[in-house]
Amino acid sequence: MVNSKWIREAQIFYDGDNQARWLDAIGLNVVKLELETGTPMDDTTGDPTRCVTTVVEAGAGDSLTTNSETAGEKLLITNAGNEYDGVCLTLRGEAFELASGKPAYFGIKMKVSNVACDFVVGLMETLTAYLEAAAHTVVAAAVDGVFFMHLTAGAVAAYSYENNAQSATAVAATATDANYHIYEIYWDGAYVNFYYDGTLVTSTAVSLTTGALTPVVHFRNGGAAVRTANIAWMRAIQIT
Amino acid sequence: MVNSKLIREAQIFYQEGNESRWIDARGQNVMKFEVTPGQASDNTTGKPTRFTTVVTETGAGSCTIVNSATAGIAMLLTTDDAEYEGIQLQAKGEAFKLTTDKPFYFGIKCSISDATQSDLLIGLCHTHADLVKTAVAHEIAAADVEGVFFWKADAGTIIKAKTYVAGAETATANSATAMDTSAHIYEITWDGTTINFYVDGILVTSTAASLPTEDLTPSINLRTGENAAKTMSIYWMRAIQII
Repeated sequence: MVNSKWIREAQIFYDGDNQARWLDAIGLNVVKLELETGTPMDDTTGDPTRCVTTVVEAGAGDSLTTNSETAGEKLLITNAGNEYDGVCLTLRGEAFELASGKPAYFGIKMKVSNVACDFVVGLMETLTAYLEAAAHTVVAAAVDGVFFMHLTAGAVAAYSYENNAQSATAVAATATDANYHIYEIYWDGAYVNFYYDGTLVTSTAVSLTTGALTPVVHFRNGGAAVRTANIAWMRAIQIT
Repeated sequence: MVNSKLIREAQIFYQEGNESRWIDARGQNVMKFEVTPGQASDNTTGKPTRFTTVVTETGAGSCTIVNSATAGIAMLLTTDDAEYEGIQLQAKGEAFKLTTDKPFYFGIKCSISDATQSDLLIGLCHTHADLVKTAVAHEIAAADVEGVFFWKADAGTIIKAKTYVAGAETATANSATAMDTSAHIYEITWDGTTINFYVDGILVTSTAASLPTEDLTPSINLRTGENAAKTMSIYWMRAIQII
């Protein structure tokens, strides 16, 4: 069931079983961004026009982002066939921030075809790549934001980076697999809280990023084999 | 707080204390257009794909339209740096009309970097290649402009609420609030018989005479009034009609 509540004079619609899972919001001070069914694609490049898209294709083949042709899904990312091939999607603009007293929600439901992959999902300052070009690790010297990251053969972990340095991390109790999972980040105005399938992974209020942020999905292969990522939904909402 | 009411079987969400300020609507007969963060942009030209974009650039440099990198702001328009250079955006299609008993709302929260040395038109207009003159004078283009809109001309800070039909002005009224560089909310409501203009929630004027009959669409025209670039930050813009 969907319930609603008031925050800073805006009406928040949330999952009745999970107050941290925001579904929608209505109000003069609501900033929201939702990946829609039929996400517009550029007629020439084929890339989603709401995103700054960076593709990596080391050899033959293409890394593609398309509207999914599976009911209940919005986007399908299909990487080319080499290690590190992949797609980095950064929603245009930076409309969100961890501002005191101004709560925000980010959520994405996604599955990957094989755990031998890297991905970053969350709210980040704009870059063209969040993962090192030729190493299975984050671009530590440039990244600011709050995000989940999975590195090939590793576990899913929640991260907070401020001023290009890691300020917090925690590993989800459940390792990733090829099933759908929901990754959520809820900023209550003082603490940032990370949830994996509705279970709190960690909370932190220490050394949080002060920059403007935008939703990001960076997905790529962990080895020389094609991987796919299916995105059922993604949304970000902030009460300013 | 947000309240809701029913109009023609549609649920209208409005700001408590200001029933004219529509925030959202749900219903089978609801037509709406909204500028939100993450606007789609052409990967080659960089222009927003939901709008027909006309830029005026007389010399070197370029006018740009981007998703803002400031939290809480959806779009940023930056003119080039020669007088009359600027940007016109009209949402593609013409989905809105002043039809009897079919109310609508248009609203925008925006700021501009120079209150005096700039031209600004915002509102609902019939599609037109240039709503504002691109040379010689800082005026609304004489031919064929039709719509309901706010207009501020270069060299002044007076904001005027205007109605135009077939290129001729049919009503005008000055807002008591002068343009400055702060963010303000400009709203136009049609209650089905009368058109109302508001600046920051204060009624500027109402009229029911000689109104546009053409189909209309959300429109913005920003020009620099001198040889220096100007910017416009759009926090949000929305149009809603109950058809």
